[in-house]
Amino acid sequence: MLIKLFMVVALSLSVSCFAESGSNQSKSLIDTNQQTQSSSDTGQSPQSSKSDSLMKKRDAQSTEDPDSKKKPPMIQYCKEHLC
Amino acid sequence: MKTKILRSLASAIFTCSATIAFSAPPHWSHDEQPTWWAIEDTSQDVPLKYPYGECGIGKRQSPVDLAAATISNTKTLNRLQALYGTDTPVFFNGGHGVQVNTSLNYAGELKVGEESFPLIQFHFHEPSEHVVGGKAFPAELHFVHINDDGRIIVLATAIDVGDENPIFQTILDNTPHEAGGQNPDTGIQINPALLLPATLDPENLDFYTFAGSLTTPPCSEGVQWFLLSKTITISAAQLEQLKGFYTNNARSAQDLNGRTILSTE
Repeated sequence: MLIKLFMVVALSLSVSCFAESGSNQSKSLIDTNQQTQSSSDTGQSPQSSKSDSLMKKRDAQSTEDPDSKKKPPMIQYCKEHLC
Repeated sequence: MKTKILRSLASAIFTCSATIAFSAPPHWSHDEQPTWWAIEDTSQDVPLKYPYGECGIGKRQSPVDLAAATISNTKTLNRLQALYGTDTPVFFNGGHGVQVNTSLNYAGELKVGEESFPLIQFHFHEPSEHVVGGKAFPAELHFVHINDDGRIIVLATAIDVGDENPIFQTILDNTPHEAGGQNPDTGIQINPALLLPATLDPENLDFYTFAGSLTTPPCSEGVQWFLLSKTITISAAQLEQLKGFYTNNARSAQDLNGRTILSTE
């Protein structure tokens, strides 16, 4: 019984370890979605891609609980770094 | 048997700590900016081994020299509004500059047309990063905004030496001197709008705009820049105090690679 308990603790620790590692890696780069959504070299404000981003937003909302919606990782990154 | 299990547990904890430690972004400094692209993350293989590669191969990098660019004012641009209110922020020394992080529920935002971009933080560079004909201003202020899609907009204003700036003094006096230090519990309220040029209407700003990047590693592109057409001032003593934190923390101007700068003026 004690052995099983230790195995469960070790397993959950490994899972949280890999999750943490993944989130740290994502901080170092802006995800590709973000870059493709950015404005073109015309330098015009990003309104042209508004409809795309709204559609993506709606898609995301349809599969996610609104309360559990995560903020973009760059927000935390830019709080910790100069950006 | 118990010892064996405990040993395995200790090994798992060690592996976890090591993984987290090694996955932190590699250290960089402004002195080594020509070779930011070559800085290695020794915990990764190619291509992740060079997390700052975009600093070297990117074609839309920031900052830029405005005098070297083609500036067009013929297109009608979206209205730009800096709708900043009072906040109780966190004064932060990020290790590369003086920075102020807005509070979690801060409602201040930049509006571009009908789109809103919440203000996340603002920080200072000395001297300025954007230049005109190779000539830098004494300093530069960047307001960093990120919306829910993760899109980044930076509103920048050049800083000249002139009248003392009381808000800037509050920031200098409350920023920790040690790298990584933060001062979250001052209770001091400031309004970032007071750091905008007084001669501009915050609800209808005049600006230059272009597609660019972060000016620090990883130099990620996809950042839209708005440079204000007017400067703000700080006193000579305040500039010296800023240099007491960080000096020469500015990236040099990058190639435009055919980018056009659009302007409202």
